[in-house]
Amino acid sequence: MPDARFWSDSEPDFTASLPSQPGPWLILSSGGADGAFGAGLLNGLTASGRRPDYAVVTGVSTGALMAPFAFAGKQYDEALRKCYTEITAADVFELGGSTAESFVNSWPLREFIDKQITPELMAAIAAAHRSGRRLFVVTSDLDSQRSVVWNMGAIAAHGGDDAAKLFRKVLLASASIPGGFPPVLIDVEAGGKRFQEMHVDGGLGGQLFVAPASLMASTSDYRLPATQIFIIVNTGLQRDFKVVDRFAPTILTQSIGMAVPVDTSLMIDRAYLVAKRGDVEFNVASIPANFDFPSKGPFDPNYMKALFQVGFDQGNGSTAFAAKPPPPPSGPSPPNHIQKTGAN
Amino acid sequence: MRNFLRSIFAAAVVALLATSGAFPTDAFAAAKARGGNFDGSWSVVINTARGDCGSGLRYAVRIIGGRVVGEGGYSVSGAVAPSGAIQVFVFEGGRSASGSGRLAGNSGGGVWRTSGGECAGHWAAARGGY
Repeated sequence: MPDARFWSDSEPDFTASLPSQPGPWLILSSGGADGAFGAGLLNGLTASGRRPDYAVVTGVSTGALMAPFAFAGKQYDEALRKCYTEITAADVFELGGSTAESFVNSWPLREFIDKQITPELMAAIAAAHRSGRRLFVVTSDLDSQRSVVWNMGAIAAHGGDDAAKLFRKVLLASASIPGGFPPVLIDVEAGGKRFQEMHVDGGLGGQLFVAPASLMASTSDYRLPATQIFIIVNTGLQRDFKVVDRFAPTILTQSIGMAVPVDTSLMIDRAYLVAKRGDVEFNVASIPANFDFPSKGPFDPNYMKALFQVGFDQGNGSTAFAAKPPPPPSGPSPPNHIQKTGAN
Repeated sequence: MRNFLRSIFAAAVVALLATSGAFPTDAFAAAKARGGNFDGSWSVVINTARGDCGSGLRYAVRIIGGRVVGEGGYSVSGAVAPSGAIQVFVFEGGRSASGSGRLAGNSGGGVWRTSGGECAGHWAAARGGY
């Protein structure tokens, strides 16, 4: 399938895949269930009448899952809302179905994606691609240890069952946290040989994607061919204090949870510098630091509805986006009495 | 992202903890009648109607010769009668829960409660899933 993808570090492939005319870019970050914020914000922007047709939409992880709806336009707002307010963990993963590859089985998410990515949505994405707009989703190719950018509009425009299957597989892969979810094997052909690549969550290569790292570098003079850049940060940047049990999964979880906000914050900062360098208007929306609605478990519908509403109100308000990056991750001081648990 | 990861792995931990619990298999001695027509893989969704036990979690279970066993190693046990009546018991790190209900064809459902009564709710099952 020609033009279906390119390495995220390939400058010529990236620049060749861009629209011929500058326009507003929408960047959707990782964030899991917190994608409810971005879904709400997009719905709120529509309600405010200030939502453009984005020339470029990129998505990583949960950002990838919402990217097709955001790209296809306002008529898919309701579908997007349902995806982030009417699901439970049962629609995402199954416990006890683990294999040597992961803690849980992600077949419910696979089936959920299959239902959401309808032929009508694929047709809308294909039409937008043919009009010159671009939809990019990032996965991580573990075999090569490189990020891959999938040109989802080109895949949709290709048409047919194989394209539809690839489209859905890419979305699943982009949201498949390694260790938590099984990797996604994607059939490829190179040098006359057919084989399978192992793809996992796009967040491994960065929690959001704007352009190849070399073009984003402080030493580069690359000017982003965009009129505006809008980043939606689907993850809280505030630290949470938690006494970590001496148990491998908990340690792993807390470790990743510490790294993700740092990576996200640095990437937002880098995007800001690149935008300034090219005289591109910079906009970023992130979850308010005071959002503290309790979550009673994974993909708690009440938590997601509350976060969706926060996003909606922000999108529909006068200050949907900030003109500068949010403060770097910070957190509360630990309580006076803490006690480690677990074996010595 | 952090909340998501925490949720995923925390849920996995629950499943792992369940494997470490002793299981009173004789509690179901009366329900060991073979229910082979329900044999196979099932996917069970647990919802909480009362209490703070989380909700909407999905578990894989297998029925073999009328006996209910956890898929992938986590501990759930019970039995299903030829009529479809089913009882299930889970022991998790000092806490236990029991469920009962009925299977019919490729689906089923019922209720569950923790032994201390802190939480209760309903469950729904469907064949397959993978």
